[in-house]
Formats: sequence, structure tokens, C-alpha cells
Amino acid sequence: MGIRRNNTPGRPASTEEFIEIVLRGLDIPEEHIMAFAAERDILETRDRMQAELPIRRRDAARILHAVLRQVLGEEDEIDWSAAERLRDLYACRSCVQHIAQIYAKGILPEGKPYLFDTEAFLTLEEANQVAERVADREKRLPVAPGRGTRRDITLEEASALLEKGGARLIDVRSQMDYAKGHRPGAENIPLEMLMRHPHFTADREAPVILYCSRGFRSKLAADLLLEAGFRQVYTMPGLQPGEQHST
Amino acid sequence: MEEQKTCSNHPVRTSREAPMALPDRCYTHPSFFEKTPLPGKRPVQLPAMGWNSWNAFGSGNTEALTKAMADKIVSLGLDTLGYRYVVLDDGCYCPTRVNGRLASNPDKFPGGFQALGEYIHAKGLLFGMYNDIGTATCAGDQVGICGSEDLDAQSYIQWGVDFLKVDNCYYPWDNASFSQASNAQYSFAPNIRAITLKGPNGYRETFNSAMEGTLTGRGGFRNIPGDYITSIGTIDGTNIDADPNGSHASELVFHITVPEGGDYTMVVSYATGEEVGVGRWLQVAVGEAGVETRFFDGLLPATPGSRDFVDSQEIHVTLVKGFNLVRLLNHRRQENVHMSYGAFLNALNQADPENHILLSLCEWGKTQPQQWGWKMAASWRILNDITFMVGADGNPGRADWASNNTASITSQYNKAVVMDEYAGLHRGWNDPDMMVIGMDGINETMAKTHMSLWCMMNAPLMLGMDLRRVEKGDAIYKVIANQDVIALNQDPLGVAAKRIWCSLTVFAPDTSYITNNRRVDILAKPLADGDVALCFVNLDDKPANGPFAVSAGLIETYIGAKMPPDKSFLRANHSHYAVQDLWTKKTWQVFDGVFTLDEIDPWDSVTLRVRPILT
Repeated sequence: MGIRRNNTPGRPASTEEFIEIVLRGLDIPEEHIMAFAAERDILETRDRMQAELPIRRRDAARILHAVLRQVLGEEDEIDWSAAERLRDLYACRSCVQHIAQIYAKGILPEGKPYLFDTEAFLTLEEANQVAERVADREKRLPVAPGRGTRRDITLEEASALLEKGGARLIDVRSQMDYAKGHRPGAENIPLEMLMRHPHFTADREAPVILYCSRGFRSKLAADLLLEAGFRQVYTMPGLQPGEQHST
Repeated sequence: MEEQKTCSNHPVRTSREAPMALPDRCYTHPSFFEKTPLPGKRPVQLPAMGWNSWNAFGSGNTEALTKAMADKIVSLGLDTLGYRYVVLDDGCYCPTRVNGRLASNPDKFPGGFQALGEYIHAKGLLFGMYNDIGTATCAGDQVGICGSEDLDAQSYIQWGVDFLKVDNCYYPWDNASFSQASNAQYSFAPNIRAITLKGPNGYRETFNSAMEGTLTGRGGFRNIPGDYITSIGTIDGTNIDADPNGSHASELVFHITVPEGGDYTMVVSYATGEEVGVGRWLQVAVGEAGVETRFFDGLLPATPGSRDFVDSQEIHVTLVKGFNLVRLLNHRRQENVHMSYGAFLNALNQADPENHILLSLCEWGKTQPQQWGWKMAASWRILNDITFMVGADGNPGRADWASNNTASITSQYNKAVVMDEYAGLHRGWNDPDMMVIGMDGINETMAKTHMSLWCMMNAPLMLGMDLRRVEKGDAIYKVIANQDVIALNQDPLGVAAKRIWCSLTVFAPDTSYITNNRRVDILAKPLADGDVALCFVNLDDKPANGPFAVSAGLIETYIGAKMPPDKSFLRANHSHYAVQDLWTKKTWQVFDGVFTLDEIDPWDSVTLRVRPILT
């Protein structure tokens, strides 16, 4: 195939090349690689039928996970929550566990910001980097912790965050207080509603800015959201009932 | 256009080229809320019970493993308890079609599906398989039924299949799970700024969406600063954010009074996009949903950006003199998958009108299948998977009690428990996914509660573990083989439990969607012999200190109307009842009609069968 004659590092690796690169990195003798892969049950029927075709990142993750478990005997990470920042993690249902492990172990990073990019092809260059990280734990990428944090911010910082776009501003006071006046752009989710259903959106990467009157309810709400997996939670100065917004 | 009450046009094959025209009003959104299923839908049975390969072996299931599971079901006597379906999940097919037909994976299922089906049937068990309404299965095999429904139905009939789980990956007209993100163009209407109507005697009027239109339902909104309407479409229910009750779609409705009836033309000022909230597909209907006439149902030409408004082509509508309801909508997200699953039912019935195949929808709750799944299926999944850390031969896999996504027992339970009104023998069953008993991460207490909840909710009971790890009388066996608890699931009255009390809300415990697990719930389920089953569950990982109590009066308030006709439970005058704990088998009596529990351990539950004592 034409693709095999092109040796630029940016071109996609074929399934067969990928397996060879990864297993060669583990000092498996070149002439035995495919037999070894079959013996260790690393390959699906599909991998053999499509050996010449470019490998997709989702299939690379599956093969890498199999290599870690079945060749290196490496344990799975129990806390793989770092991978939850990948917005397409759950889209790939049959390979979530593979992507989550490979990502959480710092072997294959996201393909695009916040996306594993499951259906994209893996390049030859990436295949070589991955092989090094499989073989040598020292070379694995640092992975950001899964758990989010809360920070108090000022009105100015809140405005700046909202102007950047993507952040949600939530007034956790009662519906009545909200109706009497609220900060511009704020939506109203009273604390008692957040207590029942803290997973009010599936997008837990987006910054959430909370406020109430005196800061007690917004702090409770922030704890709830952090426990629910939100990663960027902010609390800002409150608004007394009837007080007009000051931004 | 005449309103059409009967339906005659039932497709047996869908297209991969474009979303198909809806062949009949039986395939439109209003039909979801009527009473007639698609023709040839099997009468609903009590929830299916059996074993499915996915949680145990993922894509690694094989013929040998499947036979071993069938053997073990029989040697454990699980078949006599009701576990009869043996279901091959994803990963069993040859990765591509062979002469246009489905074939078995030569490495994993060398003997073929028909022979395996015969093996399973010879054991007195039933044979289940899996496929997908898209172009490929979730594991990536290029054998989805889209465009081959009729051929594939023939294969399944030939193989003697009794049950089909049908997935939703690579679906060409929606924007998740490996489909193009740009497919949002099909599932959302364009942004709409105004409509202009022209008609007899020089009638010409422009109606501004934001000023004169009304948004119905949930999801749609006026943009900021408010000069157009956006997000007309159906809310995605795959993840745990969306409340399953209430409306899941918005329509933009104009109340328009015209001086004369007759033919009008409508021009829509619109702008398109290909992202969640802004699409290209528009539907135009006149009249209330039940009696509507649809005048347009298709893609509008793309605009450069989602705020670059242009005028549509002229759309013909017929209006009556006086008041008219003119509705702009896009229910295609539901209508497309409804038709795909419906076409498969039609195809199965064409291949064998006598077939008894149970259809189990695995659409993940994406397009709110609780509204339409009853029209062709026995059950419908309500969320994405209960675990993603599935096992393999020699590895039990892992599951969780709680999580911030769908992958836990409580995530599935929290949604299913407020969906009981969608379930029943007249419809089918909510499916909170296969059980994870026997996987790492699930202790005995969790397993017992998981089993109790799935039985109370009338969920399908699909075991998802390597059954070679179970022996008669061991801890797992005692959970999955508790006949008294299974009897709740298989009770002939067929009514799913209702949550009648919840420590986090006094208001509407039965329909309030609650995802915070730091709480205690009490469920009640009416039974055919007049008894009531109660389940007290502590979802928290800390002990819950009560007392937790419900009275016979509260039980009557919530489920009295669903009790069998003689209402013997109520004739006990809210006082004298015999109670049995279905796990400890302990019995006692209650004389004041109040059922109380003082404390509940973490993840624990108490399931009671309450019998009225009539004097």
C-alpha cells in the first residue's frame, strides 16, 4: 500500500506497525511479534483483518491496555477519574476502560483539547512515543488529578471568567430572592434543588460560579458540586435579597 | 391533507443515505402518546431473566465460554428460578459482512450461531443475540443492521434467536458514539427569528419568534439578547443530568388568527448550525399534536453561520378561518430511532410472522425511549452503561456503587426509580442495565440491595458475571437465587415499585429526580395476591439512623389505585398486617399499620412482604 512507502512521522501507523513498534519496545524479537501477540491474546479478529489499515486511537488504546495486562502484568488504576476530563470518554462505550486506563497511566494523552479523539488515526510518531512510555514508567506523562477545587473569586474575576465564555453563573438562593433581583446572566438553582440533583449538567469541565447572600449556601453548594465531579467551582460575593446587582 | 388514523405503510429497511421520510403517522411523535403499538409487537411478558456476556467478558466472549455459562445455569438450577435467556453481546460477529449477510466471528464462534442456538435450546434455555441500528456495532464491527434490517431478520430467524438486544452506536442521524458530531444538523431545528405568512386577499403578516412565539416543553430558549429562538429539539438523556419525567423537547408555537381559511405560504427566517442546539432539520405542523397536519419535514439549506439569518423557501400550509396553532419543531431525534427500531420489528415479522423474539432496546436513554420504546420493544435501556470496566476470562471486571456518571448501581437506580409510570404489562420495562453482582467493587451488601432494587423496579434481570465463579449455596448464589425476591420481579400483577418516601424531599418522592446518594428511600410495590412489597434502602456509604417509617395510609395514597381489584390490603383498615423480611426470612406482625425501621447500614436495604390480616 502507498501508505507504507511514506515514512514521514506524521503519517498514520498501520495496526501491524503499531503492534510491532510497541512490542519491539518490550524487546520481543521482531520475527515473533505477531505470533507473540496472538499467543498473549492481544489482538481481535478485526486487528488481523485490518492489519494494513491505519490504526484508530480507540483500537490503539485497547491493544495497549491488553499489552499492559497480558504482557507486563500491570495492574489497572483504580482511580481513573483523571480521564473524565475527556468529553468523548463515554461515547466510546466498548473501550472506555481501555481509554481511561491508558490515559490515566499517562501513556496516550488527549488527541484534541478535552477529547481523546477516539476515531482519529494514531501517527507513526505517536506510536513511537507510546512505545517508550509503555516500556519505561519514568517516561509516562504526568496526569492532572481528577478531583476539582473551589476558589473564592472577586466580582472582577467573575466578570472576566464569564466574558471568556463557557462559565455558568448560578444563584443558589430561593426563587423568591432571585425574582427580587439577581446578577446579570445568573440562572437560579436553589440550594435545596442542588442538594437533590447536583448533576444538573453533564458538562462538569465548565467553570461554575456560585453565589448566595452571605456565602454559606454557596459554599455548601460548592462542596456538593465538587463531590459530583465538577472540576472548576468558584464562589463569589453574595447579594442581599432586594439588593440590585453591582456588576 | 387528510388526517390519517390507520397506518398501512411499514418499512422493513432503513436508508444509510439520508433520514427516511416518515411513512405514516404511526411513525410520528404524536403516536408515542397514543395507545396503539406498531403492528406485530409481542405481548409484554414479565421482565426477561437470564445471562448476558458483556459485563462478564466484554468483546472477548466465545462459543466455549457461552456453552460453559449455559451448562452452569442448568447445573446451578438457575433456569428453574427463571433465568432462561443466554445472550451473546457485542464482539461475536465476523467484523465485516459476508456476501451482505451477518456471519459469526470465525475465531470466537467457529461452530456458528445456529449450532450454538441449538446447544442452548437443548438445555431448555433461550438464545439471545445482539446488534445495532447504526452502521457498526459499538465494538466497531461493520455489521450494524442499518440498511439490512430485512436480511438480518432472516438470519436471526434462521438461527433460532429468541431475544435481541439492539444498540445505538454509529447511528447516522445523531451526534454521539462515533457518529459525526455534525449530525446534530438532523436532531435540532435551525435558529428561528421569525415567520412570514402570505395568503388570500393580500394577507401578509410577520411574526417574531421571540416576541410573538411561545416556547413549549423543555430545552428551547431565547438567545441573549433575545432576538431569536434556539435549541428546538430533544434533550439527550444518555447521562445522569436529565430528569426523565416531564417534557424533553421544545416547540416554537404561534397562535395565529387569519381572516380567511385556505392556502397560505410561510417563509421562515432561519440560520443553521451543526452543533448541539442548532441544526438544519425543520418540521412545520398546524394544529394540536394529536390532530396535526405536517407541512414540512426536512433539511433547510445551510447558512454560513448560526446567526446569519436567511429566508427559507416558501412552505405551503393550510390554515382555517380564525384561530390556528402553527408549530415549528424537530422531533426527528426520536422519530428517526423510533423508525429504525420499528423497521426492525417489521422486518422480523416479515421474516416470520409467528416469531416470538423479544426486542431489548439499548438506546441508552438518549432520545427518551421511555416515551416510545413501548411501541415495538419489551424493554428499553434508560442510560449509558452500568459499568465500563467489564471483565474478561479470568478477570471479573469492576463496577461501582456510586459514580458521577452512569457507571454505577445508584446512577441507574436513581433514574429508574422515578420512571415507574412508563413501565407495565401494557408497555414494557425500563432497563437500568445488566446486573454487576460478582464483579470487583461490589460487596455482598451492595449485591443484595442491587438485586432487591432491580426486582422491585421490574427491571430485566440479566446476570453479568462469569458463572463459573458461583457455587450453589455461596454468597453470590444466595443473592441471585433468592426466590422470594425474584417473585417480586415476576409477580403477575406486573406493577413496578414506586418510591413513596425519600429523606431528601417531602414533595413528590415518586417523581422527583434525585442524584444525591446521601439518603434513604422507601419503595412500595403492589402484588397480585393483595400483598405489598416494601423496600427500605440506604444509598449512602454511612449508616442511616431512623426511625424510617411508612404507614398503610401512605402506601394507599401512592399505589392504592394499582392494587388488585379486591383491595385486600386496604380492607385491613390500615392496622393489622403480617410482615416477612425476604432476606432474613424473619416474620412479625404490625397492629398499627405502620412499618418502621430504626437504622440501615451503609448500602444496605430491607425488603419486606406485607400481608393484610383480615378478621
